[in-house]
Amino acid sequence: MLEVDRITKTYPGVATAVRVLDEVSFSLPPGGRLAVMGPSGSGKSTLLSIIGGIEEPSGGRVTLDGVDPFAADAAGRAAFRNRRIGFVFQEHHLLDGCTALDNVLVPALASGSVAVDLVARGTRLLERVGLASRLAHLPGQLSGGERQRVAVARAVLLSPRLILADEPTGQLDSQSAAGITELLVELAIEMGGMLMVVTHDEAVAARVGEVRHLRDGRLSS
Amino acid sequence: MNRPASRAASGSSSGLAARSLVTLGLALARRWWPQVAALAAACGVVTTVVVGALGVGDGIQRGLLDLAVARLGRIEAAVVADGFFRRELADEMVRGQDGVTSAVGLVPAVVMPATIAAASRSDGQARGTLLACDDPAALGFEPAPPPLAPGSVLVNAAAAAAVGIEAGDTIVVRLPQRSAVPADSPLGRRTGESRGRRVTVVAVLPDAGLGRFSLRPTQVTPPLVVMSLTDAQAILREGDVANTIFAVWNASARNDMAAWLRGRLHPTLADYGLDLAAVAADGPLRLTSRRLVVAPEIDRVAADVLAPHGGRPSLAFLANELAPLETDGRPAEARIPYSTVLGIDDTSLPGGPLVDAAGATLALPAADAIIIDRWMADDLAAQGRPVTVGDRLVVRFFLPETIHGRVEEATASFVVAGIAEMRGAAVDRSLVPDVEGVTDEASIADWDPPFPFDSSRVRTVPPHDEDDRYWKQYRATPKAFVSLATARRLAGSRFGGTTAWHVPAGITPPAAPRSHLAELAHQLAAAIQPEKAGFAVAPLRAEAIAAARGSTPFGGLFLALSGFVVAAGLLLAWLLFGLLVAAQRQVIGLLAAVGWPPSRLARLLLVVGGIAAAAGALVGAMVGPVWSWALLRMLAVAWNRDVAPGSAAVFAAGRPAWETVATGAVATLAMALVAVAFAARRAARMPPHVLLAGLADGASAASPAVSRRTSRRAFCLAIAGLAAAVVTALAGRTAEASTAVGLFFLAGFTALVGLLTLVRGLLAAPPRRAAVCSLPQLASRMLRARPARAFSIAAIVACGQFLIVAVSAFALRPPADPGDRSSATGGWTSTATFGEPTSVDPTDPDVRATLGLSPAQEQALATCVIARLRSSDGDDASCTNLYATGAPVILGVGADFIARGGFRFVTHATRSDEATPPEAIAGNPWLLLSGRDPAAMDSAIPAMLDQATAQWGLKLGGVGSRFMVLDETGTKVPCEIVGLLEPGILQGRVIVAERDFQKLFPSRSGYSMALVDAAHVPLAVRSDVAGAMRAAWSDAGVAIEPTLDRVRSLQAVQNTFLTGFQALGTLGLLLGTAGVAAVMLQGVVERIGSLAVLRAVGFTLARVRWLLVLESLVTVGLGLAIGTAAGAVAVWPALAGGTARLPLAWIAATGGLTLAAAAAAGWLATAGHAVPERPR
Repeated sequence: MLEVDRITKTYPGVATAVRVLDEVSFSLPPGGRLAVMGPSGSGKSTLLSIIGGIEEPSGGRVTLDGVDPFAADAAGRAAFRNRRIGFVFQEHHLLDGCTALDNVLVPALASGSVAVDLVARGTRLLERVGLASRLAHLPGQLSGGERQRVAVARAVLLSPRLILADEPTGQLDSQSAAGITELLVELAIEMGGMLMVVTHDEAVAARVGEVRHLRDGRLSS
Repeated sequence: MNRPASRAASGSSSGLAARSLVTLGLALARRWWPQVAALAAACGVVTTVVVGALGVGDGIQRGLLDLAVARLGRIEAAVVADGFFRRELADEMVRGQDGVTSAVGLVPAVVMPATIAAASRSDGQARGTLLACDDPAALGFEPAPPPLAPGSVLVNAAAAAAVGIEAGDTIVVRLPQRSAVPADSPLGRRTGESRGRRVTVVAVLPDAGLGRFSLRPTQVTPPLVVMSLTDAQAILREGDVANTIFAVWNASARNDMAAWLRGRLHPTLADYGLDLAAVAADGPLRLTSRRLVVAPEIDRVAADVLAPHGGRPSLAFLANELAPLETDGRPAEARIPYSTVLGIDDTSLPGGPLVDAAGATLALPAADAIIIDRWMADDLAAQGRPVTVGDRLVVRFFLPETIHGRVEEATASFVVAGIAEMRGAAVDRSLVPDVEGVTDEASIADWDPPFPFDSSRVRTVPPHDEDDRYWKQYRATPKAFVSLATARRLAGSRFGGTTAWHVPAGITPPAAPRSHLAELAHQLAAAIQPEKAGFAVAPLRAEAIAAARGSTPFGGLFLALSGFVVAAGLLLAWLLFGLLVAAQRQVIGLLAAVGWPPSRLARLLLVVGGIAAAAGALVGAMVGPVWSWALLRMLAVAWNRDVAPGSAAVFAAGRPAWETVATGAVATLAMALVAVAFAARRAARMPPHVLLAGLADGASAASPAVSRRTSRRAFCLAIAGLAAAVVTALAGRTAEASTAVGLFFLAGFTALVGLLTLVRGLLAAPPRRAAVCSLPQLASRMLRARPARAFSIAAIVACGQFLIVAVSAFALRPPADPGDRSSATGGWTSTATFGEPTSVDPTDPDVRATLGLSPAQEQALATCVIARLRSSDGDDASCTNLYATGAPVILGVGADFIARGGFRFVTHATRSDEATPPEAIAGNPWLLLSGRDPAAMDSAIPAMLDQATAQWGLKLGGVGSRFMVLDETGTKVPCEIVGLLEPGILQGRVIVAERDFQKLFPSRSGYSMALVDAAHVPLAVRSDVAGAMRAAWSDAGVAIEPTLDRVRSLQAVQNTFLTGFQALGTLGLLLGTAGVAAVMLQGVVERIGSLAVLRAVGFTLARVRWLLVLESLVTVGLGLAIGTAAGAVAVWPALAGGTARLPLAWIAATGGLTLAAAAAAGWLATAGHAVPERPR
């Protein structure tokens, strides 16, 4: 269960402070899926960063399965992200020099070595995202859509409770975008986890499930 | 970077319009200042290193030149003689034979070794040089020295420091007494003698001007004492003489003063030490030499000039005993002691013929015949053993040359061919030249000859005072005559085969301008070539300049040493330029995207990089002289402390010439521009989307096939390189020592290249299918993303480490036991060098007894092993002499030295003969000097020298190669290298057998050096050895030095350069580490998104940093490991032979520091939260 309770985020401005998020509250039950839409600068990515334990809110509280990431220190928040969150960003940001499989396994290296079963899972995930023949390919040898599929597989390697996708299809054509969205939804369902997607694309949002809009720092109901 | 690219590309925020490429480049350089500054710093380092290296060469050469010229004041050239000549010779040269007086300043002087001792103490003593001339100020030194009053002297700072004296002190100046008669002949004085005088030091000359006077270019100022010529003559007691004439520059000086001097040099017979005089008024003439034996060259001239006037040569020698032989071959009891035998080529001599009782002129005796005089015949008869024609006679005589300083007796038997009546030549006293201490004594009992003289054998007490009566009546008149050929066979030597020329009295025509005698003297003097008779004209200034210019090209040497650092610096500049491109890829990508053609984009980047390079070159040009100064200071300190105290002045030259600085800066700028142009061209050719996306390296985009091909090619090259290294090393194992060193170094270098190529192949190889399972694996994979950069860093570090290891292992250490014969000391514990050659042999108990030694000193000397070495005058060709070597010092080693062996050979010839079988030579290669195979050697003199001198100092070949040395007449004589020594105390000298030395320098007597082994001296008297040696050779101006000190000073040269190498290797490592930092920063900038994702997926900042640290460590660690391994291969022979040790502490220190610095670079690359927790 994700619970977002009256989250605010204020940035210092030139004359006055800019409030990006204004007491945003919502909750997402286990298995729930939410698409957040809104114009540029509306605070969508900020909201995702706060939920993911990356950026601390100015006010309010976030808990995932009862765990408040900001109650922990930096290492605790890193562990929180590693174990409970799966991120997919607009750009894939795969590691150069690492194969597709290596990139998928990267989250497992955050706190130690990669166990054999995780390698098998990474392989299965790449097969699952349709890249069975691209396991040993380097990022430069993959297409944009393929790279994003690798990024998706990377996000779900450790079976996170919540997948946070920030404009995951922003750089893809509509066909690839649909494929990636479908993949995210299917994987979230398969894992029984929650999915929260920030997007401009209404088709993507519609496929995710519940759609809410963020305007002037407030989330529509 | 986050500012709009268009704004960044269009100019600065100040609104500067980008009207041209240069203007835009300037604007971008200002905006991109952090990267531009880093690039400028790298170029500055390279320029500094290059300018500094060139500046060192410039400085040393200028220092050497300044010093060499400063030592001469305004002296241009000099006439230098072996012996003393009349001071008037200088005046005669000024006047000229044509009567045209020259305004050229000629200053007669005495320049010779001297011993300077404090009058009030026994410990203050130094060997130095005496400069005696009437007006030292006339030599043109600045500042002008003070005038000299009688009994006063000037000393230089070196002498004052060595002796411990100051102005106002009284000192004793001792000058060696040179025996005109060769010390190596029986009648030569072998005991050293000197005469001294107490004088007052009126001033201590500073280490400048006259205080640096030296005839030889040397970086060390030797102790000097300056006194008036009159005072020096008073000590020498040779009359109004000099041995040097300086030609001093003035307005009348010629361009070629040496040629002018040669043209004006016309010594008289007296200047040559010759005397042509009438033996009686209007009587026959006699030509004799101050040296007793007429030198071969003068003998040849005398034959040309005097023979047409009836001149006849003769050779007198001393018969220690003449005795009839009995029929059984035994000498009879009757005998005649100490008599002169004369070799003649005609029995009709100018003093009258040898005639028999009938008045008939006796025939010239055959080779085995002898004519005795009537006195001897009568005396033998009186002794009961009458001799008649046909009887046999044995003559005991001294060999004409001493053997290792000792006279040896020999015998020869003759058949009596005639008995000459006591008239004519038989009573002619003039046939035998005067010998000091012999012919000038009133009684034969008063003889004080230099040879062993048994006065008991001489009959001087009446009634049996026959010998004394003969002496009083006939003096040294010969009692026997042999043919000249026989005399020369028995008593001829390298010193000559004539003791006098006898010329019949001539008639001087009434109108002749000079007498018959004067005419002959004039003809003789004119026919003698001064250069072949002990005179030399030395173009001192030209020689000094040539020696300074021809010295080791330190600029090139240091530039070569710095080559690696320059390459590393340029590589760093290339990497930093890559960092600039990576950091500004969006701007560059935008320009590419909006249609800038790659060539124009490359030019723009070149402008930006060029601005950075120019700024760096400018800074380097300013800092370079400081670096040069620092290097010179390091050399000055090291050289002054460890090699040659007092040589700091060589390194004291000021700023490098501006031409040197400009050359270095422009050359570096050109190199940097090439590197930048290469990188700019590469960057400009990248597709815009790649630049915008940040894939600056492009390796990730390479297809697996391309990666595999690249990798395969690298592996093949690596295998070839490593195989070559193995083959070279195997060849090195079986090669001779000298070749092995080179082969192993080559093997090491090949291994370095092979291993680096292997790394290149590994980096280029496509990733294996196995997934990464650990952080180090991940770091390794990330390194492969930019293989060129990782390889560059590893290569810089590997080269630096290779340099450190390969060079450090050659650091020299003095032997632990100086008594070890195979060490650099050869087993000798001390060296004694003499200011004046001496024949004093303290190993001879009889000699020791005359030296006034204490019992302890005598015992100490008795148990020492001493080898005396002959030495020519020449230049020290060892590495301690910074000047170019003209003629190297030649050492003559005796049979005892050769038999003893010692020292370690790098390589030697394998030639052998019957006397010296191969196994003997293998055991003691020194035998090659004496075991000469005349047929194989083609008359070349076998010679040995140390390999470093052969290779670097004299630039000769290896064993078997030939080179020329100059004998004492200036004739080139071929020598052949039969052995090359490892560096040792004899470094810098050409070593030949004593007998060959004597052939090269026949008129040179005595020993100039001694090696002493005191290892077996009883402990109780061991401390007396040095004192005993000083006492034994005090008159020769002995200087004693422990061999370990000599070894240390020689090794210090190599060690100083090795320190330089190490410093440069370390600098290379530092640059490599700076490169790591640059690459890390570049990597963080380029991969900021990927690193942010790592943080987003749960990597802590520390773990991200650790990942980057691992990347650094892997890169640098690879370089260190490769460099160490390859370096170890290179020095394997030295390691295996125990002559070198791996500098593990140095390796650990530099390697550890480099790793630490690399780790810090990796850690700090992410400082300041450079890596966010999510990509932007």
